[in-house]
Amino acid sequence: MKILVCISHVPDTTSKINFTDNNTQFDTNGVQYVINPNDEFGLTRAMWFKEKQGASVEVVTVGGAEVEPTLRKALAIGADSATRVDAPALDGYAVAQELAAVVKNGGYDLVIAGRESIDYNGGMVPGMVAAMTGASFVNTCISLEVDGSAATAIREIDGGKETVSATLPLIIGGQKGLVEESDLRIPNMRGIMMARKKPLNVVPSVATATETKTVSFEKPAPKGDVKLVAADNLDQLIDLLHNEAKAI
Amino acid sequence: MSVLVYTESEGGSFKKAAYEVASYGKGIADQLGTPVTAITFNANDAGDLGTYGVSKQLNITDSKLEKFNAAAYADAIAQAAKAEGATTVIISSSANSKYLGAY
Repeated sequence: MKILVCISHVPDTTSKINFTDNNTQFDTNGVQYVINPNDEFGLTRAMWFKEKQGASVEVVTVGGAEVEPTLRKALAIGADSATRVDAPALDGYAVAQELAAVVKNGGYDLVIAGRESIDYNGGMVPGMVAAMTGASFVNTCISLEVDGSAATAIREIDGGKETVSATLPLIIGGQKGLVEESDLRIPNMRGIMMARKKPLNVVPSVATATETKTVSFEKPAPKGDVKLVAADNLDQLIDLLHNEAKAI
Repeated sequence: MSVLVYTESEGGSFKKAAYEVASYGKGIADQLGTPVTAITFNANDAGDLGTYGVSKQLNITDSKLEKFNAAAYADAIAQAAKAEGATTVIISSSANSKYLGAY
């Protein structure tokens, strides 16, 4: 089985978020980047398929040279090779076009992407890639088993779970549940050394269009002061909710 | 030209999210000066969508679409958008809507 894991290069959740150019650009100064957590669950599941079923695992991302450390980390975790599409990740549609070209050329049985990245939270890419390549698609996937060319997946739905079957080639939008957090792997020194020798191919961009343009970013408004009301003072609570918060 | 909203239903009844997107769609439509059209699958009745600003409802009744199918639903919504000349299509952020939105 030939697996491709799509990796997003996203800011660590502890990063301080700021904007530049009149709030139209994300300020990357001092920001640490990591593998998108939803992708990391998928990568770890792919490693399981590699170790138990002899699958080959490739990783891919879209971005400039600055994303290569993130790909090297994926290689250190155990992926066999990496591809970087040399293009800025402008929006979900552009990224999907780039990834679809890689998927079409690679002949993969299984493509694992995160259900969404934790930076822009678009949640569009895996579905778009599936539509562009004609592959089966399961989103919000929390369990995946593959037997030959048949796959059984469980996906999260509103208020429950749904078990679906599909045939390969398959694209999934994965998330926590594919593996547990305790199963995630921290690269060891041997893995880091080996990752330096693994192939990291850079391919040119094929995308021709973007669908969106950022007008501006803004941070959430700071939280206001908290007013404590005594448990037996309902009149004051109602007065504050009605006259100040105007919630009732 | 209209704003098209996908109003989700389950067991023939509209979900809460259906009314939320209808209401949001009405706000967008007012800005654009257009009516709101809702599309749903196998709804039992029109529900209260009219009170949330929906002026036209398209209810697709097909036993093959009783179970959610992202590709088929997305295809039907795309056809409806084209037929209605919709310039804006609004879906909720439910698991199913996010699933079909990417198509």
